[in-house]
Parts: sequence; C-alpha cells; structure tokens
Amino acid sequence: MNAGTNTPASQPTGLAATIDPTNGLKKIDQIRIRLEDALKGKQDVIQQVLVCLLARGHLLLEDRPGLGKTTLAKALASSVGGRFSRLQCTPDLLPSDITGFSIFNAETRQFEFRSGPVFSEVLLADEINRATPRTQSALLEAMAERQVTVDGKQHQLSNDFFVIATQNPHEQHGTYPLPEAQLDRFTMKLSVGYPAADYEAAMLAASVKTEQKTPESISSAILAAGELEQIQDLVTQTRVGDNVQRYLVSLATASRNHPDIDAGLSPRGLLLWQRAAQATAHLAGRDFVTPDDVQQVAFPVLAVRLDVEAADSRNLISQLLESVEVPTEPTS
Amino acid sequence: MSVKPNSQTKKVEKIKQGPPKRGFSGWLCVAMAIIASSAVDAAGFGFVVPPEPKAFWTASLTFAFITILLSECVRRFAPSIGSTNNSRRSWAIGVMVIGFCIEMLLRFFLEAPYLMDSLLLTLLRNVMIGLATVAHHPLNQGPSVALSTFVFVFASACFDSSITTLPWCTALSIAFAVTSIVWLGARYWERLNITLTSKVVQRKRPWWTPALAIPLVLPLLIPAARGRLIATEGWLPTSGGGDDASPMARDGIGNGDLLVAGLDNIRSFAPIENAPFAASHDPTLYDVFDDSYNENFFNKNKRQKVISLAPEIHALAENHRMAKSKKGSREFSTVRRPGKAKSQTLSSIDSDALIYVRGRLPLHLKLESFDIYDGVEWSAEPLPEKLPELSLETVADRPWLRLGVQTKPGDPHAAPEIHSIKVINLKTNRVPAPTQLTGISIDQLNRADFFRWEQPDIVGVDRDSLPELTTLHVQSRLVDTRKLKERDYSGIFSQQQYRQFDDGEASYRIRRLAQRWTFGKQKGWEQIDAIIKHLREEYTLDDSARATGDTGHTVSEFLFETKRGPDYLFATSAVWLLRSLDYPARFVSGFYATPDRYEARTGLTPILAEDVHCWAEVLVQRDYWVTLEPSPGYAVLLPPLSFAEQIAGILNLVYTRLLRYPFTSGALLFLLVIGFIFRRRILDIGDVSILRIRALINRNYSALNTMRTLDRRCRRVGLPRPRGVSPRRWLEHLADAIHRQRADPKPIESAQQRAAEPFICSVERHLYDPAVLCTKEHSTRSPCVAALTMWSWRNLAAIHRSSGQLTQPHYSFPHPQHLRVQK
Repeated sequence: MNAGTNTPASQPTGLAATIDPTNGLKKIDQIRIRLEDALKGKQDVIQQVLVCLLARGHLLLEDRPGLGKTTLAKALASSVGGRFSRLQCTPDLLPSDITGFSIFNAETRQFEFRSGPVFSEVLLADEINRATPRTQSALLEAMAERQVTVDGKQHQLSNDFFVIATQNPHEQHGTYPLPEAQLDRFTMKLSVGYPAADYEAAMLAASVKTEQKTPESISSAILAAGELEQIQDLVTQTRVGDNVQRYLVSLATASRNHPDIDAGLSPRGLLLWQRAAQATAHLAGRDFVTPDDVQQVAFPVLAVRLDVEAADSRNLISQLLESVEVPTEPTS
Repeated sequence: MSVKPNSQTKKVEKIKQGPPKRGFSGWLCVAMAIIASSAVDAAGFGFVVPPEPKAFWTASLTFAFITILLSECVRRFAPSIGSTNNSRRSWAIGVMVIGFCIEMLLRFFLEAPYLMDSLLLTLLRNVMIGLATVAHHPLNQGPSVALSTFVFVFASACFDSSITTLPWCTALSIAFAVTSIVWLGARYWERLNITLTSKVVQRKRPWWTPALAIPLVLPLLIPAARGRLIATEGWLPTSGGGDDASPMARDGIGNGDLLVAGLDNIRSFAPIENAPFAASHDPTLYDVFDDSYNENFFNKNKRQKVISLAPEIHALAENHRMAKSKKGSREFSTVRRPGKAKSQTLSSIDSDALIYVRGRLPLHLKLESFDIYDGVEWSAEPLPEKLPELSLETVADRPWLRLGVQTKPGDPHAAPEIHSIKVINLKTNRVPAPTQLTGISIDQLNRADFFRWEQPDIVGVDRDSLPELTTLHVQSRLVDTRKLKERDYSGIFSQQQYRQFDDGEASYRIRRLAQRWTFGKQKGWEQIDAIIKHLREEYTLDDSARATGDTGHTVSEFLFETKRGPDYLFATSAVWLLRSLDYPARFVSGFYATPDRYEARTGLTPILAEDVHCWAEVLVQRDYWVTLEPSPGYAVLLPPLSFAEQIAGILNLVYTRLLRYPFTSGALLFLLVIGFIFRRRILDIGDVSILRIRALINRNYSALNTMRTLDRRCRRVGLPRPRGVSPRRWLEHLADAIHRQRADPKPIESAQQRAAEPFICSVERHLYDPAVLCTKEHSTRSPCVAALTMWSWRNLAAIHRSSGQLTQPHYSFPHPQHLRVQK
C-alpha cells in the first residue's frame, strides 16, 4: 500500500471560540516553535510554510531525500490538529488510490465510498513526479476545488486541506514532470536544503538524548478545529493598498515581458501572490501589506511558475524585483 | 486587477454591438464642416487662389468627399478614435501635425509657402474636419461645431465684392445658418436622451496643469508694452515697416505692402518721387539749433584780431549767408544769448521727434562740419573741388548710393553696419548720417543724380528738404582705433584747414595745457584720449552757461576761467587742443541718438529737438575721421565686438573687478568655492530646515516628508536607494552598515535606532495602508527627529567614505516575529 492515513492528533478541549488576531498569532508562533524543533535551522523555510498554510495554498518541496520534508509535513499536521496522510507516489499508483473508491457491501447490498488519503487536513504527496500524469491530474480537482468526484458523486474535502508535495529534481529516470496546469495550483515551491553544521550537530545530540521520542510522537494539536480557518479568514482581511496592487501588477507585467521567461505570471498566480503577501503581513503583525511582504514571498511564489532552472530562477526573480520601482507615493 | 477585465469586457461589448451609429446631429456636424471648408475656399484662403467658380466647386466637392469618406472609415474601422477626451485631443493634434508637415514639404521642396493667415486657417480647417469625422461620438460635436462656426465666420468676414464666387458665398451663409440651427435642435433632443441613459464620469484634471501656461503668460504680464512686445516678437511674420519682409506675411496693418509702395496713403510712407514737396512752416535745421542754444549775438566788445584766412574761405562765407535761410553751411557761433533755452514744441506734426533711428546706439548723426575757427565763430567747411563720384548699385533688390569710398587692404575699419533713419519733422536736405559714410539707400530711389555732396563726408538730396516719413538706410564703418599705429595720426597729408591754429597768447596757453595733459603719453590715440578724458572729467557740462566772448577766445575763456559750458564749447576746446598738438581735427554739429530714448515697442529711437549736439572729429591716416566725444555724459559708438572680444571683455571686467575689490572678490570667490564643494550638504541643510519650518507650522512632523528628506539625503551623500528596494529595507540596511562600521556601537546609537523604528512603521502605514486616511495621524515628532539623527549626514557620509556604493541588500528578510517584538 502506497498511502497511509494517521488518526487525527488529539484536539484541544472545547469548541473553537472566535479567535482574535493576537491569539491567532500566538498559536501560529507555537506552531513555528514546534516546526523549528522538528526542522532545526530552517526558519526561512518554516516561515514560508506557515505563509503558505495561512494563504490557504499548497506547497511543493523540491529537494533530495532525507532532508526533513516528511518530518516537516508531519509536524505541521500534528500542529494544525488534523489528519495527516502520506502518499508515496509510484508509477503504479492509481487515481483511486488518492481519491478513494466505492466498494460493494454485501451486507447492506450497497456500494459504499471508501475515502482516500485526500480526505485529510495535511496530505504529503512524496515524490509526486513519479506518479503517472493520470494520477497527478487526480490531485488537480482536489487542490483547486477542495473536492473530489468519484463515480459521478462529489465529495467535499476538509476546509483546512493542505497539500505538501515533494519531488527530487535530480532523478529524471522514470519520472513524469508536473504539467504547468498542476504547477500553477501550488502556491509556493521551496527547497529545504542541508542544515548548517551547528544545527546538524545539535540534531545528532538531540537524537541521542531522546532516542525513543520523536517530536511528532509527543505532539498534540495546537489549533482547535476551525481555528485555522478563522486565522485564514483573518488573513484575507489584511488590507492591500492600490499602490501595492499596482506594484504587484507591474511585477507580473515585467515577468511577462522578460526576454528569458517564456510564460509570465498568470492572473491566478498573481492572486495567490497577493494572498501570500497578506499572510506574510499578518504574520508580521500588520493589518496592511507592504512591498516588502510582496518581495518576501516573491521567490517561492514565482519559482513554481517560471519555467526555468532553479539556479536561474533566483537571478531572474532578483532582476524582476530590481527592475520595478517600489511605490513611495501614498495610496489614494 | 478588477479594472482590466472590466475595460476588456466593455471593449468586447462594443465590438459585438458593431460600429457606433452616427446620429442626425453627427451628420449635421459633418455638413457644417463641409460648408465652412467651402467658405474657406470661396474666400480665397484655400488651395484655390484666386477663387474661380469652377475651381472652387472642384475643391469644395473634393473636400466634402474626403470628409465623408474619412468619417465613415473612422466610424467603421476605428470607432475608438475620439471616444475619450484624450483620444480626441490626440486625433486633433495628429491632424494638425500632418497639415504642418505638408506645409513644410511645400515650403522646402516647392518653395511655395502659404501666407501665415492662410496656413493657420488651413490648419484650423484640418482640425475642424478631423473633429467632424469623429462626430459620431457626441463628445466631439460641441468642439466640431464651435470650430466650424469660427472658421466660417472668419472666412465669411473676408467675402467682398472682388471675389468671383460671391453668389455662392451668400448661399453658403444661408446653408450654414440653417444647418447650425437644425443642429441645435437635434442636439437638444439627443442630449435629453443621453442624459437619461448615460452616466458621465469626469476625470479630475491634475492641479498642476494650469502651471503649463505660465511660460506663455508670464512675459505678457510684464509691466508696460515692452514685455509683451519682446514676448511676441518673431512669432508672426511681418512685412514692411521694419527690416523684415517675410514671404509668409500678408499686408500688415498700417505698415503693409501698400504703405511701403506708397499706394495706400502717400503721406504715410512716401518714396521720393511721389512725395509731396509742399512748403510748410516746419522748423528748419537752424531753427532747431537756435531753439536749443539760443540765438547768437554780436559782441560789441569783441576784440578784433588778425587770423590767417584763405581768400576762398571768405568768399564761401558770403555764399553761405545767401543761402542761410534754406540751406546749411553757415558759421556756428560759440557766443550765444544767456539763459536756458526755451523749450519749443512743434505744433504742425503730432510727433515731437525730428527723426527716428534704428540700429546700434549711441549714434552721432553728422549734419554739418566746420574747419576754421576765429576764436569765436566756426566757419563751415567748404566743399572741395574734387570729390568722389556718386554712383548707384543694387544690392538685394535695393538701390544703394555708393560714395566712392575705396577699401584698401589694412584699413583700420570695423565691419560696415547699417542704420535706418526715418525723417519726421526735420527740414533739411542733408542726410543725417554717422561719420565714415559709405552708402545711402532710399527705397525705389534709383537715380544717383538725386544726391549731391553738401560737404566732405556729408551728402544731401537735390531738393529743399527730405520729405516727411522718408526712410533712409545709411551704411557706415567705424574706425577701429586699436588698429591704428603712431604714424597714422601724423596728419601730414591732410589739408591745412584742419590744422589751423593761431599763435596768440590764448592759443599759447592752450598748447601748454595740452602738452601738460599729454605729458608722457605716446603720440597717437593715447594723447587724444588723454585730452578727451581731461575735458570730460575736469569740466562741467552746463547747457545754460554761456561764453561771453569778452576775451575774444571762447576756448581760452572756457578752459581757464569758467570751466563749464555747453557741448559746443567742449567740442571747440577739444578741436583746438588737438590742433595745438598738430592733430588734424574739426568741429561737427548734428544729432545725438541717446540709448535712453530707445523704445522697445517700435525698436526705434526718437531724436528730439533737444538732441542737437556738437562734437569733434580727428583725422587719422589720410582721410578717415574718428568721432571724439569730449562732453561728459555722451558716449561714442564703438565698433561691434567679435565673440572672442566679448569674452575677453567679460574676462577683463571680471579681472578688473577682482583687482579693484580684492577682499570682497576673494571672499566671494571663497564662498563660491566652498558653496560648490559643500553644495549637497547645503542643500540638505536647506531641506531639513524646510522640514522643520513645516513642522512648526503644522505643529507636527510629517513622516512622509521626513522619509523624502532622508531619501534625498541618501541620494546626495551618494547612497541612493535602489528602485526595487523599499524605504524600510534601505534604511535598515544603512543602519546595519552604521553599526558594522563601529564595532562597538555606543548605547545612544542603539537607542536612536529603537526610537527611529516607529518612524519606519509610521512611514509604511502612511504609504501603504489604505485605512490610514480614516485615522488621525499620531504625533511623529520624536520618531522623525530620531530618524534624522540616526541617518544623519555624518553617519551616511561615513558609510560612503568607507565603503563607497553599498551593495544592494539581498531579498532576505528578518524573522517576522522579530519585527513584532520590536514593534
């Protein structure tokens, strides 16, 4: 079996009350601390993961095996208090292995729907580029619409549904590169990278001391049910001035006119970029977006959309950001 | 984001709907434009000049066809043209530019320029047709009809009985009136409909757009007509009345071709042949002199003495007496009745000017020269037997009288220059002209025998007087005294009359005085200059002072006793002093055109009766006369300076001033150098001062203004904020650099940075928070002051000195939690 679903982490007692921004940020900071415990020395990656989570987006992690992608995903799943599913993608993985399937119940003499791993809060699709395009496309509807259709019947996914897909860019044999349509549904592409030497040493030391207790095994959910959705709603209320929006449009236009970029930023990508900038501003404790917020998420947001090599993408995005003037006139 | 899809949607909807419909009023607009265009052709402003019925109809129908075709093409294939104010403006300007281009092509390739008014009307017609072609948009109908009306009214004002298309002009007028009335009705009903169904969105015009008109309006607001004249001079082509004769100019008002030809009003500008040489009671030249200096009188106590006079001179004096009532060349007495001259106005002609002069000033216009002086009176210079022959030549379609002046290589002359002189009230047949006259031109006067020599270097016309309003052009060339050498002043070749000097006691004293004044000076211009300078500096010009003539020698009396007197005593003294040193010189009378009377409005300088003047001339080389001005307050026209000489003159002036005021100049220079070196710092101090003054007025600092001040400060220091970097990141980047530079930052600096952090937050909020307009601004005094201290000029300059241009900060950001903690 390529897919597995964990039971939900233990929820905080009581129903989720209406959360205010300060409390929401405190809880997000607790999640951040837990993720930093799980993935040491990667504050930048964790920051972007949280941005992606609050922006209600999906994340593509592109890196070699063993760098903590699964650990990160599990820690996140345990923190948000939802079910965690892991999907190990292989060429023989079928769409029904992802979405679920209907089975005939001899006792009731009816077909019953067995939900797949997409029916979870956090879905880790490991090595997604090893799955066939048919299987990959099964994820499209789930990611975009947060629903799946099986045997002509629609099934709603969780509102907190969050996909973390991973792929190894260095192994090209037997892989199926993700189509642009699917790439565009991811909000960000991140690379975890090797940790610094000090953090690796600390990790080893921690491993010896707490050999039997991995972080996720002792964790309990930080967010109550529905709290993530409330925080995500708060993010959408972050104000964006028209000068910042014009700045975003100018950046998108510059990406479309850049000679080294075949396909520039799509309008959907622009919307996701603005949402990510709102999440960044919210995490910074602001209720309005600044150009710094836009720039801060520019690399992960654009990297997943620009069809260029990873090494080139950084230079290209830097060029784009340098070429467009930051607005210094007040919003009207 | 939401605007773009909306506009696209609208465009799609429009395309689906097909081309916009041209309402009835739209068609009427086109009709009015066609009628107005036909009126232009009928009036003879268009291509059909002079208008003939057949050509008129051909042109009118062609324009009508083009207008309808173009309007249909625009409506069907480019319906967006003229749909907005901007689009309409671009379309109108485009049509006008095309018209200009066609005119330029005609001008340069066919050498057939339009007349200026025709060109302007044609351009207006083009714009009118352009607007009519987009009249299917109701927005354009108003401007189109307004322009059509203007063009039609302008063209119809030029209808007269001389044009052959007059019957059609009447028909056009009726047609235009009917069409415009029908258009008003149609427009009224359509506007009612539009008002009920459409919503007009007016874009607010930027507040600074009126400032664009300042360069145009400001010169017109300069007090007096002078500013307006200078501002508008050269914009419109003119012909007649001045030196310009543009082929693009039609007849001017009051000074046009007809007037120049004398066909319109013969008295307004008369060529000599047609001029009315009627006798009048206008003042003669001698009346003018007597009015200014009072009449001379015979001094009973005059001491008789013997002077050497040639017999022919005595004979000439007799002749002069015979002609004194009409002609010049009589004696000039230096003894006149005392008292201030009565000012007399000339009643027969409106203007009190005798003549008008155009050209470089100041100018000495010579009318008579005198050579023999008997101690009291000057005798007019006789006409020598042999004089150069007068000949006529045509230069640039203008007849020029040549005075037979030979140009020799190495002549000490500057380039010849032309002055224009218009005779108004002066009754003399002599041509008032500068010395060293080389040519005279009167328009359409192409006969040399009309002129004759009156005196050496003075030409007159063979009539009793110059007709009123005659315009003369006189060409002369000034002697450049810098080119003269010592031997040029010897005067050995000159006639004895210019060196006449007596050996009396008075003359002996005068010679001693001249020798004393020129002691140590080199012979030549240096000595002449010394004499003139002494006269100008040590003697007083007093028009009311008179020489008594008691001593029998007015020069002696003036130089040694009274030491004050009118200009003729200065001139006489100068001549006598120069002659005492053996410089050939003569006494000259005429007019002085002073720059004080220059009228910028007309470009002319009037010469009034009180401008009569006497001065001296000295002979250099064989026959070149140089004007000398011994009277204080008067100046001599110097040769025009070349560009290099002008530069050298300015440098010399600066150098002289530097030497004269060494301490002031040194201090000023020092301040200028210091100011230039620290110009950026000074600008920054000014910038911060303005910020603080505004804070005082508003009782609060503005975070945005402070941020802009810091932005400018960074730029002036040499650390400009890169375009892709926000103010926060750049200021933080600089703050990091300040701390890095000082390994052990003082606590006060950390405190400053902490105090400045709210400033950055405030800037961000004011820049990017859409809700900030609804909230009241908190006091930002302390954060702004802290920011100005944190990113002070000294700190930034230190970074710049140590690291030069900072590298652009990487696009990496601090931990957001860190920001929240700071906040």
